[in-house]
Amino acid sequence: MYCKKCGAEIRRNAKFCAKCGTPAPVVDSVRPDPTHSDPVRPAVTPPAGSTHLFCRKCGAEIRRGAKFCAKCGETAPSAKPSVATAAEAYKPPVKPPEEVKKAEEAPKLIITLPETKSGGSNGQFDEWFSDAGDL
Amino acid sequence: MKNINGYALYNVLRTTNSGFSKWGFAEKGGKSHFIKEFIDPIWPVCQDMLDPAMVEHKKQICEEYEQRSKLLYRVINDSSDGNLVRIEDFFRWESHYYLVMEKVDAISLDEVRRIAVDDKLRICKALVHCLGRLHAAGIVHADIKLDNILFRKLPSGKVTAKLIDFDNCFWEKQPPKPDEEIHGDLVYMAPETFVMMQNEEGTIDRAIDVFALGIVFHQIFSGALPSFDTASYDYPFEAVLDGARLEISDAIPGKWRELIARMTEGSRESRINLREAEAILKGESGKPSEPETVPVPGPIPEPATPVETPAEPTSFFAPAGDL
Amino acid sequence: MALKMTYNVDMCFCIDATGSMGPVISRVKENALSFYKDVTQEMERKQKSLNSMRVRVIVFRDYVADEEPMMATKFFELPAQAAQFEACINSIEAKGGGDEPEDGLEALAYAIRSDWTKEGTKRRNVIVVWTDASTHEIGYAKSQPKYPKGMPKDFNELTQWWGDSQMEPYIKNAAKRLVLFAPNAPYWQHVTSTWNNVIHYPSTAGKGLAEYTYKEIVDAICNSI
Repeated sequence: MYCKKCGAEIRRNAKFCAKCGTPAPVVDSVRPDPTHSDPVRPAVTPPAGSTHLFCRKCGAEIRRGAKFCAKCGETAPSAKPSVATAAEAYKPPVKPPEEVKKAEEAPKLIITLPETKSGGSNGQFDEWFSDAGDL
Repeated sequence: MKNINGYALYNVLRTTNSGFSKWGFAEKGGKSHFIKEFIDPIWPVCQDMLDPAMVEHKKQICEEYEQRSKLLYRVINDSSDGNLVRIEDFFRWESHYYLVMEKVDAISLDEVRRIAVDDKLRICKALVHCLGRLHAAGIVHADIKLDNILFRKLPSGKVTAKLIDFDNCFWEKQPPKPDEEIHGDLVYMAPETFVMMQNEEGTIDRAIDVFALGIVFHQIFSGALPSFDTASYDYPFEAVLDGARLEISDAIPGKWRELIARMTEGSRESRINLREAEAILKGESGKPSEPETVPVPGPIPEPATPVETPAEPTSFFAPAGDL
Repeated sequence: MALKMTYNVDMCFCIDATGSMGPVISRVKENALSFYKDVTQEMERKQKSLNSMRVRVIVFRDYVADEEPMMATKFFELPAQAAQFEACINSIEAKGGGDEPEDGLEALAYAIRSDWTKEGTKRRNVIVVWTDASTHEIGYAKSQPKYPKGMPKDFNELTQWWGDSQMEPYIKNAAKRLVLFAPNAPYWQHVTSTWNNVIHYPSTAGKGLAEYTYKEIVDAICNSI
């Protein structure tokens, strides 16, 4: 499958794109246009070692194997790779040490992912918010 | 509803006064009381997450606060001529400190405006007298304003006044430092208080209460603040500092207009003091001021030893018991 | 010497933006544009005049579970930047959250370290926290790659940052207020039972602060100023 955000190929059963770290909620065999802003939000990433998923709409826990969220009816994420495998597969790129700054003076994004639009769904959010960064 | 050291709250405590405290009413011993919960200092109840040094530091702040407060409240009670609200209890419960005072069933300010001029004169004389006694005991109230005076109608129909709210009181010999934030309502702020805050130097004393009381008297008599150029100034003290006059209403009788003018003098040195004010008032009616006569409460008993366990109440005011 | 009293208020909103907070975030969005007017009207009713009001927003979720666990804005000057503030609030989405506790204490740490105004005869620095969840212990997620440097190492150090009447490393003691809309749950309980100048409005866990109307929230903020 291919990452909807950056277009890189994602290994089968991987939970995240190894290039940009975007969660991979949907199996997609056609390489998408990485410039296309996809409104679908990724599923919430469960803690490493957990076998639970969480609804991407209301945040409620979804039983393993369930097709819909019992709380709000949202379709459950269809890809169900091994979480442990996904957590191991996710290796963020190494960043050089950041200069310590006050939260509001921090550079635009001091996180371990390359600078991309967050979630692909809300460019306005990026206009006002930046990662809080180091203190 | 919550029970705090035997005081059963009627309602959830409210915050309405710049966030310094929460207050409400509670019942204990078959009587209603006014209860106030302070947000500073806080006794460290959940100690498991704090280093021992931090716990000791927080406790020390609390212990110093308790000592200061107990003495202050004792002197306030002792100095009262009946026109200061009576402090009934002061204690720590879990992490917060509480002050309990007598509940006063107050009439509205609309009703106050309608009372006869002679009654207003009598009330104002009583306030001069009671505040004068507080000053004589070495305490500055520091938050004199109309909202901190409760007017009560006695069964006889006579209206009396009680001064409340001692959260900002300080010992005149230990005034707030210039770089400390001075609390109190900006409408009633004395010019020298602002100057001290602005310059971060200087000191303040009982004269700030006189300024504020002058503005209160103007409100009692006329229903409004003294007039000033509100296009140029937000508060009376700004006008006065700039050399502008506060216009005293024509509706205010005779010598009271002059008295209020002298109480709201911009210069602290030129401002009348309460002893002089009382002398003028005695001359006004020929009679001494008549504060409400109520039994003055006895000295505050020594507190019981505070209990460490957070769930246990720590009352500093044990019942005096039988003699 | 200037003869005018200047009363400057800075506010930092720490908003739990996980899924269940949708309803209260919607309520805030509906009123974001009128927030400045609502606050100044209430202050005028109290006969208080504010010279400056600034607001910044920190949106927090969960470092382990969420892609955007901690996002922050600069201060908006109101009313000059009211439209931008409204756009900022409207861009917040209630989404995500892993386990029930969120990372509220890290949000508080950022809030304490805001670039508070140093101007004004009288100042108020108000942190408002809105959450319907308990909070992780500070540092719970420190092994996460996204976890920032410079965070307090434990609750004791965060307590030092908050300060008291004898220590104020980052925020003036007399000026600070923490208005806490949060459940009576870990570790908010530790905050309310050890920190001064906290005004706690308990919320029911998981209910998205349904028990508080917008007016009550504005009143709570104004009562702390």
